[in-house]
Amino acid sequence: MKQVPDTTGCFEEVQLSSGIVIVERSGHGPPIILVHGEDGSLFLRPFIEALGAHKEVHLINLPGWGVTPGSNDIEGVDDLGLVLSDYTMSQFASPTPVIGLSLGAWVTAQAAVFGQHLFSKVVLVSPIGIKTTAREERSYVDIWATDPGELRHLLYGDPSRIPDLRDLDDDEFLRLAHATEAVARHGWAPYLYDPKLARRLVRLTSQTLIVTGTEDHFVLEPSFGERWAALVTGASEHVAIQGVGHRAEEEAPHELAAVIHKFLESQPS
Amino acid sequence: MFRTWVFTEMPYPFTPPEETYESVRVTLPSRYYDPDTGRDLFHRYYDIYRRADELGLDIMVNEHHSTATCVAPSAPISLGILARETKNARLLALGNPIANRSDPVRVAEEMAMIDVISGGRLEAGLVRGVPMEISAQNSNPVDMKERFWEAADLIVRAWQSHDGPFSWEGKHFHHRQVNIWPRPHQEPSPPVWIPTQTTSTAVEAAERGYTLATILNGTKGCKKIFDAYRERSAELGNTPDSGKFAYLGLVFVGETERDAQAGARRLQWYLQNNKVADQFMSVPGYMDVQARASMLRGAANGIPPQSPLADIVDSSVEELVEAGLFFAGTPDQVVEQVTRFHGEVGGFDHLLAMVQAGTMSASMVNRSMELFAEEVLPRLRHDLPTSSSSRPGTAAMAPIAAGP
Repeated sequence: MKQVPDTTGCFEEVQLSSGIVIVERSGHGPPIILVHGEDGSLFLRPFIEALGAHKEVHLINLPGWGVTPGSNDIEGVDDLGLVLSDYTMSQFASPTPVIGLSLGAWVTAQAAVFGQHLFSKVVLVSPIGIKTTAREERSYVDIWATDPGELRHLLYGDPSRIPDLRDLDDDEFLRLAHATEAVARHGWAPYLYDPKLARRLVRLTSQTLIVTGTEDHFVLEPSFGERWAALVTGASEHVAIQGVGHRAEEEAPHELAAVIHKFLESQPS
Repeated sequence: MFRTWVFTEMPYPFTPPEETYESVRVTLPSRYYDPDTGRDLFHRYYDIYRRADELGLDIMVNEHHSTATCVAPSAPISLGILARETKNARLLALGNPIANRSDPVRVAEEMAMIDVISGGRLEAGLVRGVPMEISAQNSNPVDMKERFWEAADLIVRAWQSHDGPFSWEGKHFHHRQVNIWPRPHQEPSPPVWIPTQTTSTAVEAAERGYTLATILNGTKGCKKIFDAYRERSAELGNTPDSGKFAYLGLVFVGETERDAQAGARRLQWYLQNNKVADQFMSVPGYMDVQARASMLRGAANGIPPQSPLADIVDSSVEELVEAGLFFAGTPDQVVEQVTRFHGEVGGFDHLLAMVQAGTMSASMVNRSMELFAEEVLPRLRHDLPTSSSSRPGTAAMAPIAAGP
């Protein structure tokens, strides 16, 4: 029997050609796909609820993050991209909007460069997965060589918005442990990027919104939002949310949802 | 036959005060390393090993990376030196961190060369590596165990294959023309050792029949590891003799109790100088996910991950002796301590003796080794029930030919 978090969403185990994925559906309105970031769905509840005011949110629990079990067939972010592609193809008759958060944005970009027809609009929030700096210039803070307390301060713009891990229960700590292992599996080396992705972003032709936080100290490449916007063919907008760090969806869930809603409602330019 | 393997981690002990740095491993800048001092230290350590050989003791070396606690980053280099410098000692690498190496075939080649130079005196330890090594080696900790065993299987296959190339296209390693030259001196291969602190790896070592070593686990921990190996062997219909078991403890022998205590306290340096930052110990993927969840919960509640040595840092020598981590005293006392430990863990043939740590001089260590070799080891060999098997290759060792 699968273990799923205690939330208000409806969970569905979907068998795909790339494996099983557990998807949580919540909210009301036209569908939108959400791909979580490094910590899985642990701290996403306010953001999902904000999105759900206007959309039926399909949160894909990526294999290996503790809700959907890991699989020997999932060896890299490209495989995670296939899960997203397969889910989208199997569930929707027409192109559907998708949101990717940080590592989820990397997964989304991987899926989108090979499946331009799948997504009507793409939102990449604090995206990682590319490196455009020199070999001795880090693109991202080294998660595994940084004091855990210091790392949390680098991920959030406002320290008061750092989640208190003491509030987690045993099952949530287990999911967090799965999540950290999954990030290591997929992001160890090259560190949090695919060397091929930056040059492939020209194939991402869907209308795309890039969102970053002005206080993101986790991504070390300067002006990385603008850089993504320049690389993605379909990028029509880059929005920087003031005062938030890398975890914009946690620090400003309603503001981010509003930015996304506005983008989704806009007509293609 | 009961054997004693002399060991030093080859530390660089002249580090700044601990409160001035975050971690002695991974991040301590090498500007604190003085190469001239380092040269003297290396010669000290190799002199100790040469003396061990003269005394009829065996030798163990290891390697670590990006750390002042052990400045030997290549066990094969140490063995290469010792293969020429020593005449009789068996030479144990404990070991080659093969899950961190991108090319197991290279490891097979290096070990084979050492085995040939030494005339078949190599004992080849294959080790997964400690979590603190992950960042220093940039080795993905996920699936490390799986990678380790695939590398081990490839290395052993390379040693034992003498009929031209074979192909290996596994999950982690790909070689289409494996055909190592030289082949090892020993047939079918140098003995393989697996060091571990976990029962799961002990079980896997038992399934392959390799020699099992465990390190500073104390009486209870050591017995648990040995028992796991014995039980798995029994399930497979095997009865491993004591030659399959090794234990590493700290060893110092003095002429008087006072001398022994003084030397033992110098040896405690190893336990007390190992400050490691939390992030290098709690590594995702290295450990079972349940254990990691527990570690994350502890950290959230102000309990940082602990070094395996944390519980014994402040222990006295007497307490460490009682726990089975230290064998220290006069020759009579050390005989009694090893004999008691040997009985309590169910027997083992190999005592891995860390004899040097910190700033201990060669003369101090040599005197301890002399007492051990002359007054302790003969009595252990006489008194302890051990296996009758000789080490592979020793019986067949031929004189080294001069010239082509």
